Amino acid sequence: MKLLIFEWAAGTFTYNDIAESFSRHGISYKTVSYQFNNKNEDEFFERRFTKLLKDDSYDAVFSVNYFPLVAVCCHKNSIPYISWSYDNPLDVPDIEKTLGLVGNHVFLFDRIQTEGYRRMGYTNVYHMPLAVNCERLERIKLTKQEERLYTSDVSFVGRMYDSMFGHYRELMDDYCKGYIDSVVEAQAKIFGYWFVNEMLTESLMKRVNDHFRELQPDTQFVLPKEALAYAVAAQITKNDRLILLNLLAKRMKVNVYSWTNCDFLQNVNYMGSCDYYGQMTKVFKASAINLNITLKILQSGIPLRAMDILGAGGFLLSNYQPELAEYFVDGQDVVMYESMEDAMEKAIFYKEHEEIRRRIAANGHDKAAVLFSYDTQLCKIFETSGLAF
Amino acid sequence: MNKSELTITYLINTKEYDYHRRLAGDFVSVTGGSVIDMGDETDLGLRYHEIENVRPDVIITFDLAGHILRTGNDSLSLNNIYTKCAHILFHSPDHYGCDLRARQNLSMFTYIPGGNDIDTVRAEFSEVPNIDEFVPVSCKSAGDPECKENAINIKRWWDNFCKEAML
Repeated sequence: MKLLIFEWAAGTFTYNDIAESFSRHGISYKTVSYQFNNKNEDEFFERRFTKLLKDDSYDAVFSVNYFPLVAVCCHKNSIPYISWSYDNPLDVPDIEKTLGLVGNHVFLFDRIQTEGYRRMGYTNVYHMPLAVNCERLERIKLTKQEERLYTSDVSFVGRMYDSMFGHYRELMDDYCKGYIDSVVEAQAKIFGYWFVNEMLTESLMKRVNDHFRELQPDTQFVLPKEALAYAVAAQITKNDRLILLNLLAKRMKVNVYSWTNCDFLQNVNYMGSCDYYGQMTKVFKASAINLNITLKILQSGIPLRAMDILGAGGFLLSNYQPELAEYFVDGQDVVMYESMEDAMEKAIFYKEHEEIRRRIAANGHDKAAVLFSYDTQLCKIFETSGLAF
Repeated sequence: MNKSELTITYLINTKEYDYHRRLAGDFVSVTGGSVIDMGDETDLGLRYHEIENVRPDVIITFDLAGHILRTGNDSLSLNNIYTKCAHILFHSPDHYGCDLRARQNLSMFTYIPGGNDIDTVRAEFSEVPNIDEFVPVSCKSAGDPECKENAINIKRWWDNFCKEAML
């Protein structure tokens, strides 16, 4: 089998592990990358990518995350297109225009999101949990110096999110402000169920956009429901992360690895960013507790960060996620919390109980290695797409 | 967009190639644009932001001068900029070692000097998306008779590049 891999220009976290799995299975591939300005319209890309497809003979095109113009080119040239996303939401405007194209095989790691698309009639959208390359992660060792650098009671690797929520809210009338504030407050207290999409009704979005136009009659801007939902999710997630990290930092040593520091973090050691393929795994191995605080809009799936922690053999303390609970036993393979208080109590308990912690981390790692290897998941993906792996 | 309206940024490295400055002058006189010397001591992170902030329509590099800019995962930082890019090489591909094998975006075009078998080079560097032969441009000093045709050849190349890159 010969594949053309389309890779987003900035690179994707899972590309190397996927490519390694392809090589292991004797699948030859060529990789091309591109930076889009507009994911739905780019005449240059269409022409060049089509030329690539025609210059050689490929059995399929594969990409990490979904790219509508790749789907269009593949469709026009009758070549199957397989995408497997770790992003959620997908950040593709007007995705409905291309998602259903014949030859498209779209794999998402969040079951609820997948079911949503399937209910809309996109039967070519499938659920596929993410994977982890445990063998690669096991090979990453820490020097004594690195152990000293990365050791902590609690580590968190992730963004602190700059949400647009405040900007959108400022442009709302008083009724909408009150409504959206209530939605945010209620959703913030709920772990494991995302109801914001249901609350952002058509009439509410119309009222929000009507008020925008009242304030700025010349504006062409229309706030889509998806953008407001994402802004709400980012805002709640940011608050969750700040609150929990600050609470924990009062009781124990907390290291945060993020692209940017956040002024609202107190007593937390800001460690700068850490690279995905080396430092991050070392952080997970050296930390007593590794926090996963999921982006709130992710409804059921196991995020890549949780997989990374488990694969590295780190102890995972995560917010409740339905699919995490489905595959892993809470308290045996991973530990999940359902409120800030619960997270605090569990962090304090497991910090003091190293033996239990180590046992849980080992169980989680072994289960992830068996259930979620790249070979296993890619084999399922290709079989589902009607191709041999 | 009219070609004269394009924002063009040249990336050169005078520390490694002393002819870059003079050649950049030849090119700019044909295409317009500004020149950034990657060979000076400026912090590379700042350099990247400087290039990014210009939002160039076209980046033209000599001898892969821009390949020194790398991301945390060692991929080309220039890949992250939405732009068309021409990498003009004045030596045979082997001269550049693994730099030429770094993954380039589909919007990048690599031009190699004449005298190389283009099909062999394309096969050997199959991961480089768009390889073509460059027009004869002399690197010698300005007074050299070989340089007489430079402006005409650069113009010919530029017109062709704009067509290929759909500028």
